[in-house]
Amino acid sequence: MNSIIHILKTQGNDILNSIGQHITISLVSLLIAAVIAIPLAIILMNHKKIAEVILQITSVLQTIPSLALLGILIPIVGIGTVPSVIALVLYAVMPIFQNTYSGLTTIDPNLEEAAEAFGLSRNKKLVKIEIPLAMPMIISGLRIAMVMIIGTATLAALIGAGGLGTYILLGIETNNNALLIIGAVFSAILALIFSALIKGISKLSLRKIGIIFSTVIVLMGGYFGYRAIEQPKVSITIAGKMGSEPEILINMYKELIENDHPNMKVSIKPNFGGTSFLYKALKSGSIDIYPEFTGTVLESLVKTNKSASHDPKATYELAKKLLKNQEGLEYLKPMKYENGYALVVKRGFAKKYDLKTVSDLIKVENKIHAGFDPDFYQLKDGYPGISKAYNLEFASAKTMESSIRYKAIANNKVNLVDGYTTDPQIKEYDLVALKDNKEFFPPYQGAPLVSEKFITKYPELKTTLNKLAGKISVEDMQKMNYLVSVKHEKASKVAHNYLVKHNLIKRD
Amino acid sequence: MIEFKNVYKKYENNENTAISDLNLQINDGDFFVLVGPSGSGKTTTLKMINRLIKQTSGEILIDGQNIENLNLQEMRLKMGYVLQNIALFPNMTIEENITIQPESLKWSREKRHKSAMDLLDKVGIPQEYAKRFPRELSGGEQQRVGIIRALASNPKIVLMDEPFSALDPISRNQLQELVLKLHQEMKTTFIFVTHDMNEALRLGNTIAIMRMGHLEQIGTRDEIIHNPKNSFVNGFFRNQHNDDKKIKLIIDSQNCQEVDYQEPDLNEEDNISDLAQILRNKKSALVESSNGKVWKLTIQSLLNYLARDGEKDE
Repeated sequence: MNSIIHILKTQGNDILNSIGQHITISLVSLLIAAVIAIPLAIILMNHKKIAEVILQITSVLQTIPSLALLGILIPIVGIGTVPSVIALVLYAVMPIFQNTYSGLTTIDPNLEEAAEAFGLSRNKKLVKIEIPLAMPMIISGLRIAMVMIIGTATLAALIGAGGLGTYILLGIETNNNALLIIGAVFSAILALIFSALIKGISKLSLRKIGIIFSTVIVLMGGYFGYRAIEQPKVSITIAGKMGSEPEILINMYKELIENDHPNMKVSIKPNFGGTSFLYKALKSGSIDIYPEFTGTVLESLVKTNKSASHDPKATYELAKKLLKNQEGLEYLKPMKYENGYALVVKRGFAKKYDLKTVSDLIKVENKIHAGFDPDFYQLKDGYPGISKAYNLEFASAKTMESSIRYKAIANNKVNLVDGYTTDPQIKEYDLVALKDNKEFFPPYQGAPLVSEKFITKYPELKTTLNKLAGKISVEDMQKMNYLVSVKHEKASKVAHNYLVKHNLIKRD
Repeated sequence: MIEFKNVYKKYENNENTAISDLNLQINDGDFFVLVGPSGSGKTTTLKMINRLIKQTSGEILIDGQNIENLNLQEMRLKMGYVLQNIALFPNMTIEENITIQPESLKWSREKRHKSAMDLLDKVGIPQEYAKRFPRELSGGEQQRVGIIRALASNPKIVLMDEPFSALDPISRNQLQELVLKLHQEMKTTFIFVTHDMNEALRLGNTIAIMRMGHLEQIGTRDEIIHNPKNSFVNGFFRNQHNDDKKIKLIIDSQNCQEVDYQEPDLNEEDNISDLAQILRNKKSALVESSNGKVWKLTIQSLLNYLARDGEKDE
């Protein structure tokens, strides 16, 4: 509870911003869906067969998992608000269409007969009788759609459209329940508020509803029009994966670029989701830059039959060459720190047995009770490989979920775990990562990834972004991750402080 | 004048002809009543006049013009229509309901309002009801509004489809008087459908008795009473005087099952003898109850009901 209050205090503005984004995305989607679904139902109310086909189609759309839909949309329309809105519209069309259609087709046949017998024209009958009588059904369709949209819109965070989903995803990723609860509770509240609002609107006359409808459309049109005009000449989009580390890095990129090139405006999209989303987005030009690890490039982005080298420099060179040849991408220079696998013990334990490297573990191998992430436990680059390379045999080794293994070592349930060298928990729980003195683990160095087309257009950015080459040690990164994900400091502030301290930008 | 010339009507998926070779004339200003048991084709005949139902063959003429050559919407705007289930539009106020045809005829707002107020006065409904919604009125009041809604555009022809069958006897009585009064004042052609011979005799200047799609007899009230053309007319007339039991009793005793809405053979207000008549030729009969539901009644339903009814009597 305390941590929730702390986050609300320190990040209140960001949360408000997210709520704003969430509402905008949801309302735009609902309006578009209504503008499609309601007229469609009106047109098809006397064409039962076609209407049933449409109902089938919209129900099928509804069964497509939203993540898959977003994945399909990225190469077509890029990232950000547009694909999110498209996906939400596709989902919302069905309840609105279905309700409007059944509202219009279940009107008392006596009333239909009366209207017919009085010689009302088709339009008059529709406006005066059918739509008002179907209105309760239409409204309930809109409410169902709204609640669904607000819930599903949390996924928009995955593709950089922001919204409350950012907090939910971040909460899951970093095992931070406070963030998760903030995201979930606020989106639930939004759903309730909007559902009640729509119900309130339904009590107004058709004319007033029309006025409200068009006002909202005009306001939104104005807002987006203003935003479109506001865009500066050169705008660059930088995205990062889930978590604090990429967020800190892209804030550094942003600040360096804006510092060197005042005519450029950088927008950042932190917590953008998994590797493949980012990679697709980069290739489709929706984003311009994102930081990627050398190890990940060789593992999943390019095709290679060479076994991974354990030399960081060779790994980077190979990744750079393959990205250029196979994908037409430019891989700029890497930073100093490596964010690879590491074996981690408590500082006290390391001191007691004088452990500095993985090789040193041989002295205490029969005292080691290890807790490993299930992947690490099985991968040949993980536990099986390292125990062979260093000829280690631990007293016991269990698998446990990655999020709880640090808690396990902090509570002395185990005395050795796997981790990533820059994990903030290493600092949080006063742990040490043992040096991989035989260079067994494949190197993971971070470097900015851009398309060749982009960097040819703005070659000056190469110099700017390469200012970080060889900078940032493992300790620096660990500390910054700690400040952001444990102490809830703003990533932009942490990034700024680092750049100032290391004279990479002018002091302000 | 309205003329039917050799009009036939046959519904799809029904082997019997609903109307066969109907010929009749309705003079301007007449109060013309179509009467007959359910399934006699009286409502079908009525609805063919405003083309809610299209005849299979034959011609229907209004003032010498084939109605199929008239603009449908214009023609209907000049006709009033009163439905059995009243069917006031629940989303509109009483005034909006009354002036729905004048509005389509593009009358000015003042003229519409004045006409609505005059009509409310005429049927004894306070003017302040104009702003109320139909659900706030009693059944009898609602049907008064239903009637003046049909008169609002000063139509030459007003069609009424069993308008009082769902009302209680007192309201029915009052409304019968009311339509007689209105007819005298307005000199409009009223065409009125009923299954109640008493109602027919009370209201009609001209009465047409129908049975199974045939016109059995047409004539003035006196002709019908004093010279019934055949045993059916005579019997129908007499039957109505007997307090025969209504089919509603069978439905209420739950000896039948509800089915999706389809064209009913009978109304629950019809007599059980009508049901027996139909069940002699068909396995089952469809009966509509006043709430719009349709029930399927079989010989078994009838027998079960009669058996139980017998028990009670003992």
